[in-house]
Amino acid sequence: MTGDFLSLASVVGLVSGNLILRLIAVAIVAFIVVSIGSLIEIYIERKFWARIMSRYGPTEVGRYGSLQLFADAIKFISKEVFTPELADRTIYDIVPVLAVATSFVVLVAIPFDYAVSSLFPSSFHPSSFVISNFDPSLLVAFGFFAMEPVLVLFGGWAGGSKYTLIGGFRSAAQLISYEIPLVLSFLSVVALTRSLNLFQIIEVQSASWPFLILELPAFVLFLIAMLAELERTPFDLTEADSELVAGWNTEYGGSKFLLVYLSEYIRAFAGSAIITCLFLGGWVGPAPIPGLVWIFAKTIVVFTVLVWIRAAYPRVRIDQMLNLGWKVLVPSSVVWLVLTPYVANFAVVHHLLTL
Amino acid sequence: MGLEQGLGIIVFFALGAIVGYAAEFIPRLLIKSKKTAEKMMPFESGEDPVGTSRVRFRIQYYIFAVAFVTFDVVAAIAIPWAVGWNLIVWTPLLVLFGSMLLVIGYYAAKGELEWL
Amino acid sequence: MAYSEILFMFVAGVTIISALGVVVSKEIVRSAAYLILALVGVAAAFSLMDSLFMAMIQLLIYAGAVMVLFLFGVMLTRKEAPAKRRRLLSRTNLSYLILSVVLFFLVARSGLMDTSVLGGIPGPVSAIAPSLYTEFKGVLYALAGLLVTVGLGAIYIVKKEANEGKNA
Repeated sequence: MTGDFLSLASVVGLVSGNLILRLIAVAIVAFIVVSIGSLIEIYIERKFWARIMSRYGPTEVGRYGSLQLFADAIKFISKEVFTPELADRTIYDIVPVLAVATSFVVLVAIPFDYAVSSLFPSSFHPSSFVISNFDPSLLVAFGFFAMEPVLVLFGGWAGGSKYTLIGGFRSAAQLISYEIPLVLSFLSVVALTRSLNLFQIIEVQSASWPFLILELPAFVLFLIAMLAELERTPFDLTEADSELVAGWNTEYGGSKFLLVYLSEYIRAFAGSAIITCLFLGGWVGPAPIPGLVWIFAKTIVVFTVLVWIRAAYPRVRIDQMLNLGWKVLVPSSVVWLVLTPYVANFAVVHHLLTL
Repeated sequence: MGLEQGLGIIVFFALGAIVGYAAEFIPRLLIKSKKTAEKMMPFESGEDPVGTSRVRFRIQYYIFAVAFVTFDVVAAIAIPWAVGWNLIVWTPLLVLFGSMLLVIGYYAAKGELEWL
Repeated sequence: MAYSEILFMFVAGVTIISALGVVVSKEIVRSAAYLILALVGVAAAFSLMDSLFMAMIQLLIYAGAVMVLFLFGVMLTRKEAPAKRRRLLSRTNLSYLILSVVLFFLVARSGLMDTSVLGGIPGPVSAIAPSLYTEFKGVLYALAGLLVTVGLGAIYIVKKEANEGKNA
């Protein structure tokens, strides 16, 4: 018994001693978290959405249709792989892989590794296990978030079809229109805490009011911009089934489509987790329940709200969407960003915020 | 400090890419592909494709890209301001934001931000 | 640290090779793909030089935004027939050569002396703000002017291109 305990401790010691091993361990932890998260997300997307629309959703495979996702995955992987004749082979093959890899990198900045390692007794988790606690972690998340329009354009062009090219342009136009308000509204949270470290932002929130209240306008702006960045209804013009088939990924089939789909859900998970960390206090919650459960549950709740919005609102037209982005969201996020320092002073004076 | 996180990014990217490549290339080994003319042609709702697929369309969309790049630069310059607004004079940032809103207002008035 | 230097050499090599690929590649979208590889390589080099902030700005602005601009430009204005090959000794190539020589000396000069926080010392992001907003105030005002010029000039170019498209 003691022997097992010691060997586990020595494994932990070895892993946290070697930088590369530690990074690989953190990456695998993040991968497990995001896999479970994506499975729950897709299940919620199907079941909850169906219930809102008075449908049943999947029921046949497994209890309450819970194994439907695995059946789908097996089907995607067992399909034949081919490249359409007019496609640019290299770019066509590499875009889905890069989409998964870049969306996965976003998770390096989100403190899931801290939440997981705090499950273990403190002798096991030297804080040196955590890598997400570094200075511009928010920028890392958004730097890789911002790679999506380029990938979409390349993917749409490489498919070699008119649908994919036009879909790629629409997709890219949408993503770039909402990136400015996205950046400016998260900057107002940064201006409140004067830190680009997501870890530190959560720690400030644990001693203050949640930024959902202090930064309500920024939250609303960020949520709308994030909805558009994740290409979810009411902004899912890129996937407007009746108009554009499937947008830029029309020519992707089989396992490549699986990768595109997976990257969308990883992005959705990462986006919900960023909203959780910026505005809802991350892992902070009443004591007996561990921080990992809090951050994970909050992320899933945010995602459920996104699905709810998807069920409740009709799709906007593309001109309405671009007008909203450029003429409403950009000016209002600029105004709120400039006002934020005054809010910060007010909050500090009234003890709503402790820096 | 930056180096460790740089390596972390590389490890995360590598793990994502390995998973992606595995999902893309393992089926290729296991499943024989039968190519037919219909399968290889671009999808156009079941019709035979007409003309080139690299179509040119309205140059007006270029405006969105230009606006995006210029405003993204402004947003990037606002990042140090957001971190250190208590240490500095705000005028340059306000001038930048003002000119950005001016350009948007001009576009809006001229109707250049319409997607047709 | 030996292996970080090896990594840096590798990143630099990839960047240079893909920069060559931009020039050599015949298909223009392929050139754009090589260009993005080169820009990401520069970002990786920044992060290996302990400046993650600059790396992410590079990713956000160049690989994320400028590449979108290039791709929009390339894909919206691509001509069907390839243009005839330009001669090696033309006036355009000469001006490129002069520009790159000037650029090279500018880069070499900035490497010799310590310019500011922006010029290489890795530090917290908050240290950048005073340097950028007081020392380089003039640059920011010039940038504001440039921004307005570019914003208004883009309309002119688009109008011209659209009219040519109609006439053709």
